[in-house]
Amino acid sequence: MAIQHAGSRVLRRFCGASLLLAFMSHPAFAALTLEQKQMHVLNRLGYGPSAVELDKIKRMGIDAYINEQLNNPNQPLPANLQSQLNAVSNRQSIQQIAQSYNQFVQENRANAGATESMQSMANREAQQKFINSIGNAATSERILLAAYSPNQLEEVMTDFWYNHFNVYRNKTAHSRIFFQDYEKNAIRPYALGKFKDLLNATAHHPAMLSYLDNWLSSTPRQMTRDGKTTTVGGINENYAREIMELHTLGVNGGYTQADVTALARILSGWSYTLENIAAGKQFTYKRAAHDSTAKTWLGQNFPAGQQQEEGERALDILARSPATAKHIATELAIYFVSDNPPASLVSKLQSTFLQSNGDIKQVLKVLFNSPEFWDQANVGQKFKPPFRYLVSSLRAGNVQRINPATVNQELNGMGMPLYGSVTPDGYGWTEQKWMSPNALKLRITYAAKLGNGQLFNDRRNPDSSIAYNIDPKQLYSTLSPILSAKTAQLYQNTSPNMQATLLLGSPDFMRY
Amino acid sequence: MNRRQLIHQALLLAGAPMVLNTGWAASTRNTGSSKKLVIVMLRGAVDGLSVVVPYKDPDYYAGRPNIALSKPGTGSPDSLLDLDGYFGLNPTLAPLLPFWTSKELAFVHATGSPSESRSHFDAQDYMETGTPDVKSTQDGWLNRLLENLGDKQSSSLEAISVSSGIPRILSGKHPITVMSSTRTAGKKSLLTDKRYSSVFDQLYGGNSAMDTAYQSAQASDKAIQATLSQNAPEDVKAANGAPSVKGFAADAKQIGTLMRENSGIGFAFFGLSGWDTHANQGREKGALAKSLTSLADGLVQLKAALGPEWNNTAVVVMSEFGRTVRENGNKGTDHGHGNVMWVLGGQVQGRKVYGQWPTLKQDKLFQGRDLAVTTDFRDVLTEVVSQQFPLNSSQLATVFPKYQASKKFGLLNS
Repeated sequence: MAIQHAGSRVLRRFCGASLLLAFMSHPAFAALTLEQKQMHVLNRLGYGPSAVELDKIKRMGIDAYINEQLNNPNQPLPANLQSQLNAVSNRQSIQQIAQSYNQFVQENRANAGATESMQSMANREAQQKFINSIGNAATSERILLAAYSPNQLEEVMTDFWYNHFNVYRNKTAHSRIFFQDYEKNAIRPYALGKFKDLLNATAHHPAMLSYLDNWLSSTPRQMTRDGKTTTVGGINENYAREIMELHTLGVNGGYTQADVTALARILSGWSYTLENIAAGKQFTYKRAAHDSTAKTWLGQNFPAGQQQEEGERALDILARSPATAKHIATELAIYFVSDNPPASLVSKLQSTFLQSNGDIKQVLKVLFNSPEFWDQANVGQKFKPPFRYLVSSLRAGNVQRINPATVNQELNGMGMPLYGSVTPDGYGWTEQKWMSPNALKLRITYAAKLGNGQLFNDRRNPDSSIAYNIDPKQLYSTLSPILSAKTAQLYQNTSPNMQATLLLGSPDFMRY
Repeated sequence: MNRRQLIHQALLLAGAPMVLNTGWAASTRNTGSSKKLVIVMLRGAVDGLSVVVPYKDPDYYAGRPNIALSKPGTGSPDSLLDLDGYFGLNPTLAPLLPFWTSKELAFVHATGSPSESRSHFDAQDYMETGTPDVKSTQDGWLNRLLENLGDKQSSSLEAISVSSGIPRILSGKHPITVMSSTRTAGKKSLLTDKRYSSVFDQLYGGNSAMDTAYQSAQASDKAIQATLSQNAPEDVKAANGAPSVKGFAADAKQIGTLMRENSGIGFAFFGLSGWDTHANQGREKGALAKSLTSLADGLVQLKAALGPEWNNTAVVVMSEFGRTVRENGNKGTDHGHGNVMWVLGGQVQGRKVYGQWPTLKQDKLFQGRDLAVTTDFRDVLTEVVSQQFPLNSSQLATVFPKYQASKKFGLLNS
């Protein structure tokens, strides 16, 4: 599908001014109105304008707002969010989760002889409930935080990094129970921190070790039983390949199949056990599973017998590589600026990444100050992926209480279940990935439900319905800087009960 | 004729199914082909050794003391239906015997992927992208096929997937139609409801990519409604998440009807879960038998609904990999390698189990445990696809990149 180009609504509305200013050093910045600049910041640093956030950026000014998002990602959560979070959160640590899960597993084993006994059925059911409760808590929290957290940039970056270091929630029983902790403790704390810390945390986390099979990877060993010698175990290349291809160097990052195999040998033995996690030890280095012989990887010598240390050294080399810097710079530029990011911007971000030793905050600071970020050709041009579309609608509509499960159902229907990307490359951020006839149909159908105040009606259980009312005038005022003349005119000529639906389903609101 | 006129014409035609067969087809598929392709993907790895059973292979019985099916003609309820004196059909698939007898059903055994992966997700992905062991492929081979055949300017109502999202096999540049359930397919869509369309038709009345997508979605909805309102929708139990094989019969009937009435619809995809039989998979009864019964029922319904179009249709049933030759400790089977592919349709040269049988001898097994793959799944797909559609070799190379099919069985009449 073709990407819509600069003949944008914004451009048409401000045609005269923008043409005159097009040759100045920061042409687009100058051409945008103050309201449009505010809108751009709320759209790109967060999940779009809400009444509260709009008010805030107007009070603070654009620069101060960006600084606060970058430097103070720990603003207190509003009471409305906190109370909704309290209702859904799962506060178990990974240790507690492993302990509970271990009990189920052991009980299943004890019941194994008696097929389909009441007890074993009950235990399996309880186990399933336990697993589901972790998943439900994680999706609900993410949706609520995206919709209401004042730390919008942290949310946007948590989404970005989880996707970058994707773990498919339903890959294995272990990924099901550990992915929530993975987001909470391996991704979120470093979302605006150092890339090396992210890489480290993900590489040592059971969710990633399980998802990309490294926990099973071991050097082949000879076992003799009943006089027969067989080879057991073997190197699994899955994680070693993806860590270079997707997490760091990029697919053209200059490594070979031999490097993949060598890195898999370097990382062999990086594992976990349920028992150890339950005892408080999240990562387990299995010395016996490690290939202790010498290796050559990316042209460097790894002498024999370095054990776990050689994996740590490999992560360090990957984090410092210029190829990694370029890969991350490109991804960030696509995420924040354009589906076809300007090379000038990518190279600026790459060099900042290298100079700052992978300091994500520094890279973002350069990005938000770049003329490319403010270039009118890049403003309001990106197509919202489903998660962003849904969350931005709740924010713009000023819906104060939500049923996150309903939002999650919509996400499933739109093909972007949270934590549901099967493949390690995560979801894409481009229009090509998300724009389709079906997508528009689903969004307009959703906009009607939301606009009519019926999104959270629960027919089966009316008591749990959530009533809300979107004020079309307020919605119009919130969105006015991005509305085309055509949409604005149709809005004026439409009956009030259709106005919110019109705005939320408009082409203007599909982009950001 | 420009795009808007095309859509307009399509809508007029959609309201009048009698003339659809020529008009819509000519305007939607510039190949002029009326051939159809239906892919049924059994997600979770069906135990192919329980579908087309090598009852003459002694290692089959040796490896499966609890779950093997009895030889044909024993009179017991789990007795196989003989196919060719070596293979027998699972008795729960008896409704498909008429297909077999009339040569409308063929199997290719010991097929699969060169990838050694035993991960459902990786293996499904490879089968859907058509590029085994290449994880970076974003689009699916069926979408690439559509790109080669379809009219990019027209409608997304060329290929239908019954699923919640766009499955990998249909991901890509070419627009497709997705139905999360066919239960609501005949019902009014918001895009064809005047209260909404009077507003949104204006909002999306231009010719940007988004406007075109909107118009295309609306045209599909109208055509679908025009067809299905005359064919009362079945009341189907909504499947949670991935559509289960349980609802397949009703979905197959709906989709078959749509394909019969709208000759522009050339492709349908079903991804059916319910095959991952690690424990108690059963013989003529049990988990696997239940799923197979639903599958057979759906295929029968599909043929009936397609009516005369059955002659133009090829149906391929496939699964990401097979299951272990030896049963496990829970009277089930674990993830394996080689499997059987099914090909059905009016022009199939059936009543034959194709492929090279590697036997289940220990030294012939893949990694000492699984049925070996003697036919690459892309050989079967390449043959079916190129028999159904006029593709030149460079087009075929975009559908299955970096692959040269090495076998041709004569699965379909030319």
